[in-house]
Amino acid sequence: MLETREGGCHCGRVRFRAKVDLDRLSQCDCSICTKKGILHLVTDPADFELLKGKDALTAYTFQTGVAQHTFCRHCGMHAFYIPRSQPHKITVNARCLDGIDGPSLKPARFFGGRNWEEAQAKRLAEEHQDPPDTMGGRAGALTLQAILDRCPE
Amino acid sequence: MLQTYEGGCHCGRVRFRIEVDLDETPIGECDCSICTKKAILHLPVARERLEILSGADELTTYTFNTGVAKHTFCRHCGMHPFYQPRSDPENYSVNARCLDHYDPETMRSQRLFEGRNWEEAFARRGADWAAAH
Repeated sequence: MLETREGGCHCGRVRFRAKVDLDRLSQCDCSICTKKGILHLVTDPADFELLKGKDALTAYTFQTGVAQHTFCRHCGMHAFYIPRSQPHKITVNARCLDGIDGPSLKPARFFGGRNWEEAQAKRLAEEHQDPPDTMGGRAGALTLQAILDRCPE
Repeated sequence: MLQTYEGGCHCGRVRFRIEVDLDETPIGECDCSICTKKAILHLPVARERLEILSGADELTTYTFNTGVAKHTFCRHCGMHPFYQPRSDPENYSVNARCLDHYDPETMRSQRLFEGRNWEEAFARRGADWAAAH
């Protein structure tokens, strides 16, 4: 069920509001998701609002450079990021929603990102989607920039 | 039996080596405000059994509340490979997720520290929560 929730990093500099569906909680076993322990909730940019923190955020990229792994430079929390698999969307980290109980979060879906191409092909087939236009590898960065540009502070 | 493991952040700047007996050191999780967001899987390691191989200068330290815990993370990639916990600030809590040979099947959390009510949880915890010296 879609619901509007707020969340953020730990020090409070980064805050967001998003429409999320906790029944679609997803986990990924790739190198970075494993270390982050992130629990994914994919949202549409129209349903995501960065309320504050554009100067506190920094983005880490690697490999293809499409994904924008944003985190708060002050407390190191990864409240949301732009995923390589859907670079026109935003993935909220369910662990960073207000009032969430971490140990009870149980992902219903799984993305086998360790074998990324295979996992992406499987997801696209299941969700009847075409491969995203990476815009020459810049799609993730452009999605992030649009979020930052709309952020008031 | 004490064994040697290595691990690190994601970008590779921060690397560490630990000696720990995984059979005698259950991995734990905590439901406090910061452990929830970090998703850290705690592996307590005595100070002298953790060696920072590289990247000590790449770490940023975040503190809050009592300021006792030192929440270190790589300032380049944002990963939290280890930190010094409030419950045992002389030693380390290594994030099992950042071990090179992390295995989600065998390295599951076996106990919960209810850090949301920290004082109660600290009073109740078993001696095994402290790093083995």
